[in-house]
Amino acid sequence: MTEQSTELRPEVGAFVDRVRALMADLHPDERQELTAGLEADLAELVEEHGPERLGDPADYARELRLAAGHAPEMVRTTQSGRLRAAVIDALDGLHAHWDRTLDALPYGGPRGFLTSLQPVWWVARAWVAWMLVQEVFAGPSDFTLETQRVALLAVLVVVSVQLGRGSWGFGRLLAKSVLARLLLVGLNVLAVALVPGEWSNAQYAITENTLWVYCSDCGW
Amino acid sequence: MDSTQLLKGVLDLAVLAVVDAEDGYGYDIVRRLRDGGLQDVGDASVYGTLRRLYAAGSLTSYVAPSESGPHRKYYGITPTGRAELKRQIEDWRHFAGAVGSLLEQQGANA
Repeated sequence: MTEQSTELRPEVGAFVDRVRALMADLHPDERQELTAGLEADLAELVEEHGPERLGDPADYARELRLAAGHAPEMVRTTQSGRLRAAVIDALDGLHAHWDRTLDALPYGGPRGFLTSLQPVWWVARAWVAWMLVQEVFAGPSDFTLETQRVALLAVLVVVSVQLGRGSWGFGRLLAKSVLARLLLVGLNVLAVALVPGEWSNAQYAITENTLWVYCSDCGW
Repeated sequence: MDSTQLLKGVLDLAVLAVVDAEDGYGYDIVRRLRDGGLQDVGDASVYGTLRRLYAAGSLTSYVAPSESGPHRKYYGITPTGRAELKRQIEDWRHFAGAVGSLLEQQGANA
């Protein structure tokens, strides 16, 4: 096989999009796992046997779901669920675009790096939330390291990591509720936007020796 | 009983056996199953089975570059998977033997 299979045929792309759409009720990670290699595999299939072999995406999705241990059919969206479906499609489209971008990166380079950074982001956003909570409840430049505050940071980190992993039912919640997904996107964007501000707050607190003041009887 | 029914019962076993022989990516495993005689196996069934076996801990996965361009996700068997394969082979042999002897007893002609 000398042909570069990165030039995916449009019918394969459309087929996979349709299959993905029919799995929208599954956990996003599960759906991603099931469909990640699909374009490349189907492209190979089409190369060997022609595009007619693709068949009906609905049948394909049903077979895939059943073999993976899920219910064969997605819960149908009703008329009133159209807006919801549209938002889901938009979010999925963004996620798929991101995944496709990651997939296209050379193996072992930036892709592995970015994937490894994900947990770092989970911790970072918890820290941003912690700084924000302190600002709101204790005043804009009062960043001390008393035990309760550190405990709060620990709690926020744990929640953020569990959310990132989809544990504690977060995964199911995100799969079911469009609102939850939008909220998560919004909070992530907000956290990114607040990083520079909170970072300079932290720098200020450190340089102003707030921590020194707290630890004045440590003997330092 | 058409072959799809028979296949469903043994797809786990067949997939584990193929991956045990050699690691492979999705379509590669489909090809090997078909070349091995299971021409009717659906690729969607194989992908779903791979995912289910992975979730059950019988398979591991890793990404590796393939000859024709983009990276592919390869599946390999785990110790859990090998134990499961062994168990299913025994079950299959026992089952096939039982069906065979039942047919003989009932006087079925081959």
